[in-house]
Amino acid sequence: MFILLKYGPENPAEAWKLQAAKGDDQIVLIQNGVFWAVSEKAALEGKNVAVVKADWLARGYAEEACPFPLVDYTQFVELLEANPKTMS
Amino acid sequence: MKKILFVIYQAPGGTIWPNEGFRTAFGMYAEEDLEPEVLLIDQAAITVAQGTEPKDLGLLSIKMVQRYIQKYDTKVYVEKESLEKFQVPDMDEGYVAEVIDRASIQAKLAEYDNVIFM
Repeated sequence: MFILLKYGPENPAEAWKLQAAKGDDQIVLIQNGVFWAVSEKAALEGKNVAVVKADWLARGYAEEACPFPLVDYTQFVELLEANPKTMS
Repeated sequence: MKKILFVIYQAPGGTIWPNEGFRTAFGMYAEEDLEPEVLLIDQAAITVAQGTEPKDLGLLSIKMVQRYIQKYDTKVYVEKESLEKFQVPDMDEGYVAEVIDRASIQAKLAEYDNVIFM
């Protein structure tokens, strides 16, 4: 399943989605969802996570500081196409 | 048949999202091959309380969705942990809601093609 997190850790729905995530799910952090990779990194460990590069950089973080793979919009669409089931 | 779960997590008083979530779910019946279901979690769990009615505040009624739930036989779930967290005293049977615990509904998520949070 493709799981999209677009809000930060303060959002109860995003925490719920993350709790529901299985090991083979693809989690993508987009918009303010990138804050999960900053303040709640431990909650993402062991999970299949990617971060939208444009949103990461736009919030002032360096590319090399991202603990998860960064993806551009083309790669984002490829991940979405590879996972027909979605939670967003 | 494509199954879609609409997960509503915001309160019916002060936000439009429970109404919007149900309205969007009902709209799915326009397509023959879509089967919508609704799950209420977090603050949205108070939707099913007997006394919850935003209309009393001059806002859009939430209880108006009940007739469409019954017309379309829409499956509605409400999360047990959220009912307890927000101390929902008694459920309005008009929603025909099934109480389900978090572990059970999260285990069921793989049944759905799309899970949409509103």
